[in-house]
Amino acid sequence: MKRDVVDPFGAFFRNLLQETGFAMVMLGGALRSIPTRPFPLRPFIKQLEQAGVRSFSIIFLTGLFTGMVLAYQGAITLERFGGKSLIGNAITASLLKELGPVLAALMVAGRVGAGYASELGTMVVTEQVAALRAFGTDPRQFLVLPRLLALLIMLPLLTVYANAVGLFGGYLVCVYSLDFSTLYYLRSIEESMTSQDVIGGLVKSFVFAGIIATISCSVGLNARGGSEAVGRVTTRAVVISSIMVLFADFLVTRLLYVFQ
Amino acid sequence: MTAVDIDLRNVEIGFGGPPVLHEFNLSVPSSQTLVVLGESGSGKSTMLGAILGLIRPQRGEVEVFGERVDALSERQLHPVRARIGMVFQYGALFDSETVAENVGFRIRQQPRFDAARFEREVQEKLEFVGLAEFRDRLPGELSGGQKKRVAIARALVGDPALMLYDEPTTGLDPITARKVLEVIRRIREEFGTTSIVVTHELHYAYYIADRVILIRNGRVVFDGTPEAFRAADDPYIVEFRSMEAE
Ligand SMILES: Nc1ncnc2c1ncn2[C@@H]1O[C@H](COP(=O)(O)OP(=O)(O)O)[C@@H](O)[C@H]1O
Ligand SMILES: [Mg+2]
Repeated sequence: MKRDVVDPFGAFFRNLLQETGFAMVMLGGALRSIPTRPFPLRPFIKQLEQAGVRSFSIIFLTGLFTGMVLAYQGAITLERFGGKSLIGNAITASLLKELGPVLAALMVAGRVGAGYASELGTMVVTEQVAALRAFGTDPRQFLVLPRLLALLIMLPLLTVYANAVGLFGGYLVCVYSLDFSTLYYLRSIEESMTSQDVIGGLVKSFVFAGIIATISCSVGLNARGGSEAVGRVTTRAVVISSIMVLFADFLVTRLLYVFQ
Repeated sequence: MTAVDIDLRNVEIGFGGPPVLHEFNLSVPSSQTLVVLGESGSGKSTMLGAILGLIRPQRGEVEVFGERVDALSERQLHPVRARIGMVFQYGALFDSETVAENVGFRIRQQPRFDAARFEREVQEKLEFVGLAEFRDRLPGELSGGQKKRVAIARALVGDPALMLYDEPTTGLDPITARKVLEVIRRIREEFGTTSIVVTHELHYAYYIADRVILIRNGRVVFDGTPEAFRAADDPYIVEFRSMEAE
Protein backbone atom coordinates (compact mmCIF):
# COMPACT_ATOMS: atom_id res chain seq x y z
CA MET A 1 0.00 0.00 0.00
CA LYS A 2 2.66 2.46 1.05
CA ARG A 3 4.74 1.57 -1.98
CA ASP A 4 1.88 2.52 -4.26
CA VAL A 5 1.99 6.05 -2.90
CA VAL A 6 5.75 6.36 -3.06
CA ASP A 7 6.08 4.58 -6.36
CA PRO A 8 2.86 5.05 -8.36
CA PHE A 9 4.61 4.44 -11.65
CA GLY A 10 5.97 1.06 -10.55
CA ALA A 11 2.59 0.05 -9.20
CA PHE A 12 0.98 1.01 -12.47
CA PHE A 13 3.42 -1.08 -14.47
CA ARG A 14 3.00 -4.06 -12.19
CA ASN A 15 -0.74 -3.74 -12.72
CA LEU A 16 -0.31 -3.47 -16.46
CA LEU A 17 1.89 -6.56 -16.62
CA GLN A 18 -0.39 -8.52 -14.33
CA GLU A 19 -3.56 -7.70 -16.27
CA THR A 20 -1.82 -8.47 -19.56
CA GLY A 21 -0.69 -11.79 -18.12
CA PHE A 22 -4.22 -12.64 -16.95
CA ALA A 23 -5.54 -11.66 -20.37
CA MET A 24 -3.11 -13.98 -22.16
CA VAL A 25 -4.02 -16.90 -19.92
CA MET A 26 -7.71 -16.22 -20.51
CA LEU A 27 -7.18 -16.01 -24.25
CA GLY A 28 -5.41 -19.37 -24.20
CA GLY A 29 -8.34 -20.91 -22.35
CA ALA A 30 -10.85 -19.33 -24.70
CA LEU A 31 -9.07 -20.67 -27.78
CA ARG A 32 -8.73 -24.13 -26.30
CA SER A 33 -12.45 -24.20 -25.50
CA ILE A 34 -13.41 -23.72 -29.16
CA PRO A 35 -13.82 -27.38 -30.11
CA THR A 36 -15.76 -28.39 -27.00
CA ARG A 37 -19.18 -26.89 -27.60
CA PRO A 38 -21.42 -25.53 -30.34
CA PHE A 39 -20.26 -22.02 -31.14
CA PRO A 40 -22.46 -19.44 -29.37
CA LEU A 41 -23.84 -18.05 -32.62
CA ARG A 42 -26.65 -15.91 -31.24
CA PRO A 43 -24.46 -14.11 -28.69
CA PHE A 44 -21.94 -13.56 -31.49
CA ILE A 45 -24.49 -11.90 -33.76
CA LYS A 46 -25.70 -9.78 -30.88
CA GLN A 47 -22.14 -8.69 -30.13
CA LEU A 48 -21.50 -7.81 -33.78
CA GLU A 49 -24.56 -5.63 -33.75
CA GLN A 50 -23.66 -4.04 -30.40
CA ALA A 51 -20.09 -3.27 -31.39
CA GLY A 52 -21.30 -1.61 -34.58
CA VAL A 53 -24.20 0.31 -33.07
CA ARG A 54 -22.22 1.49 -30.08
CA SER A 55 -19.41 2.86 -32.21
CA PHE A 56 -21.01 4.12 -35.38
CA SER A 57 -21.60 7.75 -34.49
CA ILE A 58 -18.44 8.32 -32.45
CA ILE A 59 -16.35 6.81 -35.22
CA PHE A 60 -18.07 9.09 -37.72
CA LEU A 61 -17.23 12.19 -35.70
CA THR A 62 -13.70 10.99 -34.97
CA GLY A 63 -13.02 10.32 -38.65
CA LEU A 64 -14.58 13.58 -39.79
CA PHE A 65 -12.64 15.87 -37.45
CA THR A 66 -9.41 13.99 -37.98
CA GLY A 67 -9.70 14.35 -41.76
CA MET A 68 -10.52 18.04 -41.47
CA VAL A 69 -7.62 18.73 -39.15
CA LEU A 70 -5.22 16.77 -41.36
CA ALA A 71 -6.28 18.84 -44.37
CA TYR A 72 -5.58 22.15 -42.62
CA GLN A 73 -2.32 20.93 -41.12
CA GLY A 74 -1.24 19.52 -44.46
CA ALA A 75 -2.11 22.73 -46.27
CA ILE A 76 -0.19 24.89 -43.82
CA THR A 77 2.91 22.72 -43.99
CA LEU A 78 2.82 22.20 -47.73
CA GLU A 79 2.23 25.86 -48.46
CA ARG A 80 5.42 26.67 -46.62
CA PHE A 81 7.36 24.21 -48.78
CA GLY A 82 5.45 24.94 -51.95
CA GLY A 83 4.05 21.47 -52.46
CA LYS A 84 0.31 22.07 -52.45
CA SER A 85 -0.25 19.19 -54.83
CA LEU A 86 0.94 16.80 -52.16
CA ILE A 87 -2.14 17.47 -50.01
CA GLY A 88 -3.47 14.01 -50.81
CA ASN A 89 -0.28 12.46 -49.50
CA ALA A 90 -0.46 14.43 -46.31
CA ILE A 91 -3.95 13.19 -45.63
CA THR A 92 -3.81 9.56 -46.71
CA ALA A 93 -0.45 8.73 -45.19
CA SER A 94 -1.42 9.96 -41.74
CA LEU A 95 -5.01 8.82 -41.86
CA LEU A 96 -4.82 5.34 -43.30
CA LYS A 97 -1.64 4.14 -41.66
CA GLU A 98 -1.89 5.81 -38.31
CA LEU A 99 -4.69 8.04 -37.15
CA GLY A 100 -7.59 6.08 -38.60
CA PRO A 101 -6.69 2.73 -36.98
CA VAL A 102 -5.41 4.21 -33.71
CA LEU A 103 -8.17 6.73 -33.07
CA ALA A 104 -10.85 4.23 -34.04
CA ALA A 105 -9.28 1.71 -31.67
CA LEU A 106 -9.10 4.20 -28.80
CA MET A 107 -12.72 5.18 -29.33
CA VAL A 108 -13.76 1.54 -29.47
CA ALA A 109 -11.75 0.80 -26.32
CA GLY A 110 -13.69 3.54 -24.53
CA ARG A 111 -17.01 2.37 -25.85
CA VAL A 112 -17.02 -1.33 -26.65
CA GLY A 113 -14.16 -2.38 -24.36
CA ALA A 114 -15.76 -0.52 -21.47
CA GLY A 115 -19.03 -2.26 -22.30
CA TYR A 116 -17.37 -5.69 -22.25
CA ALA A 117 -15.70 -5.05 -18.90
CA SER A 118 -18.84 -3.73 -17.24
CA GLU A 119 -21.08 -6.48 -18.63
CA LEU A 120 -18.74 -9.26 -17.59
CA GLY A 121 -17.96 -7.53 -14.29
CA THR A 122 -21.67 -7.33 -13.55
CA MET A 123 -22.08 -10.99 -14.42
CA VAL A 124 -19.29 -11.87 -12.01
CA VAL A 125 -20.61 -9.91 -9.04
CA THR A 126 -24.17 -11.19 -9.59
CA GLU A 127 -22.82 -14.76 -9.76
CA GLN A 128 -23.97 -15.25 -13.35
CA VAL A 129 -20.46 -16.33 -14.28
CA ALA A 130 -20.45 -18.83 -11.41
CA ALA A 131 -23.85 -20.03 -12.65
CA LEU A 132 -22.44 -20.60 -16.14
CA ARG A 133 -19.70 -22.76 -14.67
CA ALA A 134 -22.13 -24.57 -12.40
CA PHE A 135 -24.21 -25.44 -15.46
CA GLY A 136 -21.19 -26.82 -17.26
CA THR A 137 -20.46 -23.90 -19.58
CA ASP A 138 -17.05 -22.31 -19.90
CA PRO A 139 -17.50 -18.52 -19.50
CA ARG A 140 -14.51 -17.97 -21.77
CA GLN A 141 -16.21 -19.91 -24.50
CA PHE A 142 -19.67 -18.49 -23.94
CA LEU A 143 -18.82 -14.87 -23.10
CA VAL A 144 -15.33 -14.13 -24.39
CA LEU A 145 -15.20 -15.84 -27.79
CA PRO A 146 -18.27 -14.12 -29.29
CA ARG A 147 -17.01 -10.73 -28.11
CA LEU A 148 -13.49 -11.32 -29.36
CA LEU A 149 -14.63 -12.52 -32.75
CA ALA A 150 -17.17 -9.73 -33.12
CA LEU A 151 -14.54 -7.08 -32.46
CA LEU A 152 -11.99 -8.73 -34.76
CA ILE A 153 -14.53 -8.28 -37.52
CA MET A 154 -16.04 -4.94 -36.52
CA LEU A 155 -12.96 -2.87 -35.71
CA PRO A 156 -11.33 -3.26 -39.15
CA LEU A 157 -14.68 -2.39 -40.71
CA LEU A 158 -15.06 0.61 -38.42
CA THR A 159 -11.53 1.63 -39.34
CA VAL A 160 -12.35 1.55 -43.03
CA TYR A 161 -15.39 3.63 -42.23
CA ALA A 162 -13.33 6.09 -40.17
CA ASN A 163 -10.87 6.39 -43.05
CA ALA A 164 -13.63 7.02 -45.56
CA VAL A 165 -15.24 9.66 -43.38
CA GLY A 166 -11.79 11.16 -42.76
CA LEU A 167 -11.17 11.51 -46.49
CA PHE A 168 -14.56 13.12 -46.76
CA GLY A 169 -13.65 15.55 -43.95
CA GLY A 170 -10.45 16.36 -45.81
CA TYR A 171 -12.49 16.94 -48.92
CA LEU A 172 -14.81 19.39 -47.14
CA VAL A 173 -11.88 21.44 -45.92
CA CYS A 174 -9.90 21.32 -49.18
CA VAL A 175 -12.81 22.23 -51.41
CA TYR A 176 -14.85 24.61 -49.29
CA SER A 177 -12.14 26.30 -47.29
CA LEU A 178 -8.89 25.93 -49.24
CA ASP A 179 -10.39 26.37 -52.71
CA PHE A 180 -9.18 23.15 -54.26
CA SER A 181 -11.34 21.74 -56.99
CA THR A 182 -13.11 18.46 -56.32
CA LEU A 183 -11.28 16.79 -59.15
CA TYR A 184 -7.93 18.00 -57.92
CA TYR A 185 -8.57 16.66 -54.43
CA LEU A 186 -9.76 13.29 -55.68
CA ARG A 187 -6.84 12.87 -58.00
CA SER A 188 -4.38 13.80 -55.30
CA ILE A 189 -5.91 11.22 -52.97
CA GLU A 190 -5.96 8.56 -55.67
CA GLU A 191 -2.32 9.11 -56.53
CA SER A 192 -1.13 8.97 -52.96
CA MET A 193 -3.19 6.05 -51.69
CA THR A 194 -1.23 2.80 -51.76
CA SER A 195 -2.63 -0.62 -51.01
CA GLN A 196 0.27 -1.07 -48.64
CA ASP A 197 -1.01 1.78 -46.47
CA VAL A 198 -4.52 0.43 -46.49
CA ILE A 199 -3.45 -3.11 -45.63
CA GLY A 200 -0.98 -1.91 -43.00
CA GLY A 201 -3.76 0.03 -41.33
CA LEU A 202 -6.08 -2.95 -41.38
CA VAL A 203 -3.42 -5.23 -39.91
CA LYS A 204 -3.09 -2.74 -37.09
CA SER A 205 -6.80 -2.53 -36.44
CA PHE A 206 -7.03 -6.32 -36.37
CA VAL A 207 -4.31 -6.48 -33.72
CA PHE A 208 -5.93 -3.64 -31.76
CA ALA A 209 -9.27 -5.46 -31.79
CA GLY A 210 -7.66 -8.55 -30.29
CA ILE A 211 -6.02 -6.47 -27.58
CA ILE A 212 -9.14 -4.51 -26.65
CA ALA A 213 -11.45 -7.53 -26.52
CA THR A 214 -9.02 -9.77 -24.66
CA ILE A 215 -8.00 -7.24 -22.04
CA SER A 216 -11.48 -5.84 -21.47
CA CYS A 217 -13.04 -9.29 -21.05
CA SER A 218 -10.25 -10.50 -18.81
CA VAL A 219 -10.38 -7.43 -16.57
CA GLY A 220 -14.17 -7.77 -16.35
CA LEU A 221 -13.98 -11.46 -15.46
CA ASN A 222 -11.50 -10.63 -12.70
CA ALA A 223 -13.91 -8.26 -10.95
CA ARG A 224 -14.05 -8.99 -7.21
CA GLY A 225 -16.44 -7.58 -4.70
CA GLY A 226 -19.81 -5.86 -5.00
CA SER A 227 -21.31 -3.53 -7.56
CA GLU A 228 -18.61 -0.92 -6.91
CA ALA A 229 -16.15 -3.36 -8.48
CA VAL A 230 -17.90 -2.96 -11.84
CA GLY A 231 -17.00 0.72 -12.10
CA ARG A 232 -13.44 -0.06 -11.13
CA VAL A 233 -12.91 -2.76 -13.73
CA THR A 234 -14.53 -0.64 -16.43
CA THR A 235 -12.08 2.23 -15.96
CA ARG A 236 -9.20 -0.20 -15.65
CA ALA A 237 -10.14 -1.99 -18.88
CA VAL A 238 -10.20 1.27 -20.86
CA VAL A 239 -6.91 2.54 -19.47
CA ILE A 240 -5.01 -0.71 -19.90
CA SER A 241 -6.35 -1.57 -23.33
CA SER A 242 -5.70 1.98 -24.60
CA ILE A 243 -2.11 1.87 -23.44
CA MET A 244 -1.60 -1.57 -24.93
CA VAL A 245 -3.07 -0.32 -28.21
CA LEU A 246 -0.52 2.49 -28.35
CA PHE A 247 2.27 0.11 -27.44
CA ALA A 248 1.18 -2.39 -30.10
CA ASP A 249 0.91 0.46 -32.61
CA PHE A 250 4.59 1.12 -32.06
CA LEU A 251 5.50 -2.55 -32.46
CA VAL A 252 3.39 -3.11 -35.57
CA THR A 253 4.63 0.09 -37.19
CA ARG A 254 8.17 -1.04 -36.53
CA LEU A 255 7.42 -4.44 -38.07
CA LEU A 256 5.71 -3.00 -41.14
CA TYR A 257 8.64 -0.65 -41.58
CA VAL A 258 10.95 -3.66 -41.77
CA PHE A 259 8.84 -5.21 -44.51
CA GLN A 260 8.72 -2.09 -46.64
CA MET B 1 -30.31 -45.63 1.69
CA THR B 2 -27.24 -44.59 3.59
CA ALA B 3 -25.15 -43.74 0.53
CA VAL B 4 -23.12 -40.60 1.12
CA ASP B 5 -23.55 -37.91 -1.52
CA ILE B 6 -21.15 -35.36 -0.10
CA ASP B 7 -18.07 -35.76 2.01
CA LEU B 8 -15.85 -32.83 2.98
CA ARG B 9 -12.74 -33.84 4.89
CA ASN B 10 -10.43 -31.40 6.67
CA VAL B 11 -11.19 -28.72 4.14
CA GLU B 12 -9.31 -25.44 4.37
CA ILE B 13 -10.25 -22.47 2.20
CA GLY B 14 -8.94 -18.93 2.51
CA PHE B 15 -8.81 -15.87 0.29
CA GLY B 16 -5.53 -14.43 1.47
CA GLY B 17 -6.59 -13.52 5.00
CA PRO B 18 -7.39 -15.93 7.81
CA PRO B 19 -9.02 -19.11 6.48
CA VAL B 20 -12.77 -18.98 5.92
CA LEU B 21 -13.17 -22.73 6.36
CA HIS B 22 -10.65 -24.49 8.57
CA GLU B 23 -10.46 -28.23 9.25
CA PHE B 24 -14.02 -28.34 7.99
CA ASN B 25 -15.73 -31.73 8.01
CA LEU B 26 -19.18 -32.58 6.72
CA SER B 27 -20.85 -35.66 5.37
CA VAL B 28 -24.31 -35.62 3.82
CA PRO B 29 -26.24 -38.85 3.09
CA SER B 30 -28.60 -39.25 0.14
CA SER B 31 -32.07 -37.76 0.37
CA GLN B 32 -31.31 -35.69 3.43
CA THR B 33 -32.36 -32.05 3.74
CA LEU B 34 -29.53 -30.29 5.50
CA VAL B 35 -29.92 -26.71 6.65
CA VAL B 36 -26.70 -24.76 7.05
CA LEU B 37 -26.80 -21.92 9.55
CA GLY B 38 -24.16 -19.32 10.32
CA GLU B 39 -23.62 -15.62 10.60
CA SER B 40 -23.08 -13.62 7.47
CA GLY B 41 -19.50 -14.14 6.32
CA SER B 42 -19.12 -17.46 8.15
CA GLY B 43 -18.36 -19.32 4.93
CA LYS B 44 -21.71 -20.87 3.97
CA SER B 45 -21.57 -19.82 0.31
CA THR B 46 -17.90 -20.77 0.21
CA MET B 47 -18.86 -24.28 1.31
CA LEU B 48 -21.41 -24.55 -1.52
CA GLY B 49 -18.78 -23.27 -3.95
CA ALA B 50 -16.40 -26.01 -2.81
CA ILE B 51 -19.05 -28.69 -3.35
CA LEU B 52 -19.59 -27.46 -6.92
CA GLY B 53 -15.88 -27.27 -7.60
CA LEU B 54 -16.17 -23.51 -8.16
CA ILE B 55 -13.77 -22.84 -5.30
CA ARG B 56 -10.77 -25.06 -4.76
CA PRO B 57 -9.62 -25.78 -1.22
CA GLN B 58 -6.01 -25.19 -0.23
CA ARG B 59 -6.15 -28.35 1.82
CA GLY B 60 -8.45 -31.28 2.42
CA GLU B 61 -10.74 -33.32 0.21
CA VAL B 62 -14.14 -32.66 -1.31
CA GLU B 63 -15.98 -35.74 -2.47
CA VAL B 64 -19.31 -35.52 -4.30
CA PHE B 65 -21.02 -38.69 -5.57
CA GLY B 66 -17.73 -40.46 -4.92
CA GLU B 67 -15.73 -38.07 -7.14
CA ARG B 68 -12.92 -35.91 -5.79
CA VAL B 69 -14.16 -32.60 -7.18
CA ASP B 70 -11.21 -30.71 -5.71
CA ALA B 71 -8.91 -32.68 -8.01
CA LEU B 72 -10.94 -32.59 -11.23
CA SER B 73 -10.40 -30.21 -14.12
CA GLU B 74 -13.19 -27.90 -15.19
CA ARG B 75 -14.00 -30.26 -18.07
CA GLN B 76 -13.95 -33.35 -15.85
CA LEU B 77 -16.35 -31.59 -13.49
CA HIS B 78 -19.13 -31.45 -16.09
CA PRO B 79 -20.67 -34.86 -15.35
CA VAL B 80 -20.61 -34.17 -11.59
CA ARG B 81 -22.11 -30.71 -12.00
CA ALA B 82 -24.75 -32.14 -14.31
CA ARG B 83 -26.13 -34.01 -11.28
CA ILE B 84 -26.22 -30.89 -9.09
CA GLY B 85 -28.77 -28.08 -9.22
CA MET B 86 -27.49 -24.82 -7.76
CA VAL B 87 -29.76 -21.95 -6.81
CA PHE B 88 -27.64 -18.85 -6.31
CA GLN B 89 -28.44 -16.25 -3.71
CA TYR B 90 -30.01 -13.66 -5.99
CA GLY B 91 -30.98 -16.19 -8.62
CA ALA B 92 -28.07 -15.30 -10.92
CA LEU B 93 -30.43 -15.48 -13.90
CA PHE B 94 -28.86 -14.48 -17.21
CA ASP B 95 -30.10 -10.90 -17.71
CA SER B 96 -30.27 -10.96 -21.46
CA GLU B 97 -32.20 -14.22 -21.78
CA THR B 98 -35.88 -14.93 -21.28
CA VAL B 99 -37.23 -17.04 -18.45
CA ALA B 100 -37.62 -20.03 -20.79
CA GLU B 101 -34.09 -19.64 -22.16
CA ASN B 102 -32.74 -19.41 -18.63
CA VAL B 103 -34.59 -22.49 -17.48
CA GLY B 104 -33.57 -24.50 -20.53
CA PHE B 105 -29.99 -23.26 -20.45
CA ARG B 106 -28.48 -26.66 -19.77
CA ILE B 107 -30.37 -28.19 -22.67
CA ARG B 108 -29.33 -25.40 -25.02
CA GLN B 109 -25.69 -25.98 -24.11
CA GLN B 110 -25.75 -29.64 -25.13
CA PRO B 111 -23.59 -30.48 -28.14
CA ARG B 112 -26.79 -31.28 -30.05
CA PHE B 113 -29.81 -29.16 -29.29
CA ASP B 114 -32.95 -31.19 -28.59
CA ALA B 115 -35.83 -28.79 -29.23
CA ALA B 116 -38.53 -31.21 -28.09
CA ARG B 117 -36.76 -31.84 -24.81
CA PHE B 118 -36.23 -28.12 -24.36
CA GLU B 119 -39.95 -27.38 -24.73
CA ARG B 120 -41.02 -30.28 -22.54
CA GLU B 121 -38.60 -29.69 -19.67
CA VAL B 122 -38.96 -25.91 -19.62
CA GLN B 123 -42.74 -26.25 -19.47
CA GLU B 124 -42.58 -28.96 -16.82
CA LYS B 125 -40.12 -27.16 -14.54
CA LEU B 126 -41.88 -23.82 -14.85
CA GLU B 127 -45.19 -25.46 -14.01
CA PHE B 128 -43.54 -27.09 -11.03
CA VAL B 129 -42.60 -23.69 -9.59
CA GLY B 130 -45.91 -22.18 -10.73
CA LEU B 131 -44.54 -19.71 -13.28
CA ALA B 132 -45.45 -21.25 -16.64
CA GLU B 133 -47.11 -18.06 -17.86
CA PHE B 134 -43.91 -16.06 -17.34
CA ARG B 135 -41.83 -18.00 -19.83
CA ASP B 136 -41.28 -15.12 -22.24
CA ARG B 137 -40.44 -12.45 -19.67
CA LEU B 138 -36.94 -11.17 -19.02
CA PRO B 139 -35.48 -11.54 -15.50
CA GLY B 140 -35.64 -7.77 -15.05
CA GLU B 141 -39.42 -7.99 -15.25
CA LEU B 142 -39.76 -10.43 -12.34
CA SER B 143 -40.08 -9.90 -8.59
CA GLY B 144 -37.42 -11.21 -6.22
CA GLY B 145 -39.47 -14.27 -5.29
CA GLN B 146 -40.28 -15.06 -8.91
CA LYS B 147 -36.60 -14.82 -9.81
CA LYS B 148 -35.74 -17.35 -7.14
CA ARG B 149 -38.43 -19.74 -8.35
CA VAL B 150 -37.17 -19.41 -11.93
CA ALA B 151 -33.67 -20.10 -10.61
CA ILE B 152 -35.02 -23.22 -8.91
CA ALA B 153 -36.72 -24.31 -12.14
CA ARG B 154 -33.46 -23.81 -14.00
CA ALA B 155 -31.55 -25.86 -11.43
CA LEU B 156 -34.13 -28.66 -11.67
CA VAL B 157 -33.54 -29.26 -15.38
CA GLY B 158 -31.89 -32.64 -15.82
CA ASP B 159 -33.43 -33.88 -12.54
CA PRO B 160 -30.35 -33.46 -10.34
CA ALA B 161 -29.79 -35.79 -7.42
CA LEU B 162 -28.51 -32.91 -5.31
CA MET B 163 -29.92 -29.41 -4.93
CA LEU B 164 -27.98 -26.56 -3.34
CA TYR B 165 -29.85 -23.44 -2.26
CA ASP B 166 -27.98 -20.31 -1.21
CA GLU B 167 -30.26 -18.22 1.01
CA PRO B 168 -33.39 -18.97 -1.00
CA THR B 169 -35.65 -16.94 1.29
CA THR B 170 -33.43 -13.98 2.16
CA GLY B 171 -35.02 -10.68 1.27
CA LEU B 172 -38.46 -12.17 0.60
CA ASP B 173 -41.64 -11.30 2.45
CA PRO B 174 -43.04 -14.17 4.57
CA ILE B 175 -45.73 -15.22 2.09
CA THR B 176 -43.32 -15.32 -0.86
CA ALA B 177 -40.72 -17.05 1.27
CA ARG B 178 -43.29 -19.71 2.16
CA LYS B 179 -43.97 -20.35 -1.52
CA VAL B 180 -40.27 -20.87 -2.18
CA LEU B 181 -39.96 -23.19 0.82
CA GLU B 182 -42.94 -25.22 -0.36
CA VAL B 183 -41.19 -25.72 -3.69
CA ILE B 184 -38.02 -26.87 -1.91
CA ARG B 185 -40.04 -29.28 0.21
CA ARG B 186 -41.90 -30.70 -2.74
CA ILE B 187 -38.66 -31.31 -4.63
CA ARG B 188 -37.44 -33.36 -1.72
CA GLU B 189 -40.73 -35.22 -1.29
CA GLU B 190 -41.45 -35.97 -4.95
CA PHE B 191 -37.95 -36.75 -6.17
CA GLY B 192 -36.07 -37.72 -2.99
CA THR B 193 -33.45 -35.10 -3.89
CA THR B 194 -30.64 -34.50 -1.42
CA SER B 195 -30.86 -30.83 -0.44
CA ILE B 196 -28.56 -28.36 1.22
CA VAL B 197 -30.26 -25.13 2.19
CA VAL B 198 -28.19 -22.19 3.41
CA THR B 199 -30.19 -19.74 5.44
CA HIS B 200 -30.09 -17.62 8.54
CA GLU B 201 -33.81 -17.63 9.08
CA LEU B 202 -34.39 -20.07 11.90
CA HIS B 203 -38.10 -20.68 11.62
CA TYR B 204 -37.66 -21.68 7.96
CA ALA B 205 -34.83 -23.96 8.99
CA TYR B 206 -37.04 -25.75 11.48
CA TYR B 207 -39.72 -26.01 8.83
CA ILE B 208 -37.74 -27.98 6.25
CA ALA B 209 -34.64 -29.45 7.90
CA ASP B 210 -33.93 -33.09 8.67
CA ARG B 211 -30.65 -31.93 10.06
CA VAL B 212 -29.11 -28.62 11.03
CA ILE B 213 -25.48 -27.56 11.16
CA LEU B 214 -24.08 -24.28 12.44
CA ILE B 215 -20.81 -22.88 11.11
CA ARG B 216 -18.61 -20.67 13.24
CA ASN B 217 -14.94 -19.73 12.84
CA GLY B 218 -14.64 -21.97 9.82
CA ARG B 219 -15.95 -25.12 11.51
CA VAL B 220 -19.14 -27.00 12.21
CA VAL B 221 -19.97 -26.17 15.85
CA PHE B 222 -23.39 -27.80 15.92
CA ASP B 223 -24.65 -30.83 14.04
CA GLY B 224 -28.00 -32.41 14.91
CA THR B 225 -31.75 -32.40 14.51
CA PRO B 226 -33.77 -29.18 14.42
CA GLU B 227 -35.25 -30.15 17.79
CA ALA B 228 -31.81 -30.57 19.30
CA PHE B 229 -30.77 -27.17 17.90
CA ARG B 230 -33.85 -25.58 19.44
CA ALA B 231 -33.00 -27.13 22.82
CA ALA B 232 -29.22 -26.63 22.77
CA ASP B 233 -27.92 -24.57 25.70
CA ASP B 234 -24.46 -23.75 24.35
CA PRO B 235 -24.12 -19.97 24.94
CA TYR B 236 -23.29 -19.17 21.28
CA ILE B 237 -26.26 -21.17 20.01
CA VAL B 238 -28.54 -19.49 22.55
CA GLU B 239 -27.28 -16.13 21.35
CA PHE B 240 -27.59 -17.14 17.68
CA ARG B 241 -31.19 -18.26 18.27
CA SER B 242 -32.13 -15.05 20.02
CA MET B 243 -30.51 -12.88 17.33
CA GLU B 244 -31.96 -14.63 14.34
CA ALA B 245 -35.43 -15.47 15.63
CA GLU B 246 -36.42 -11.95 16.65
N1 LIG C 1 -13.86 -14.68 -4.01
C1 LIG C 1 -13.57 -14.19 -2.80
N2 LIG C 1 -12.48 -13.42 -2.62
C2 LIG C 1 -12.16 -12.94 -1.41
N3 LIG C 1 -12.86 -13.16 -0.30
C3 LIG C 1 -13.97 -13.91 -0.38
C4 LIG C 1 -14.39 -14.47 -1.63
N4 LIG C 1 -15.52 -15.18 -1.42
C5 LIG C 1 -15.79 -15.07 -0.10
N5 LIG C 1 -14.88 -14.31 0.52
C6 LIG C 1 -14.84 -14.00 1.96
O1 LIG C 1 -15.02 -15.20 2.67
C7 LIG C 1 -15.86 -15.00 3.79
C8 LIG C 1 -17.02 -15.97 3.74
O2 LIG C 1 -17.87 -15.61 2.65
P1 LIG C 1 -19.18 -16.41 2.33
O3 LIG C 1 -18.86 -17.84 2.15
O4 LIG C 1 -19.82 -15.72 1.20
O5 LIG C 1 -20.03 -16.22 3.66
P2 LIG C 1 -21.58 -16.46 3.91
O6 LIG C 1 -22.16 -17.06 2.69
O7 LIG C 1 -21.62 -17.37 5.09
O8 LIG C 1 -22.17 -15.13 4.24
C9 LIG C 1 -16.28 -13.55 3.78
O9 LIG C 1 -15.45 -12.85 4.69
C10 LIG C 1 -16.00 -13.11 2.36
O10 LIG C 1 -15.63 -11.76 2.34
MG1 LIG D 1 -23.52 -16.28 1.35
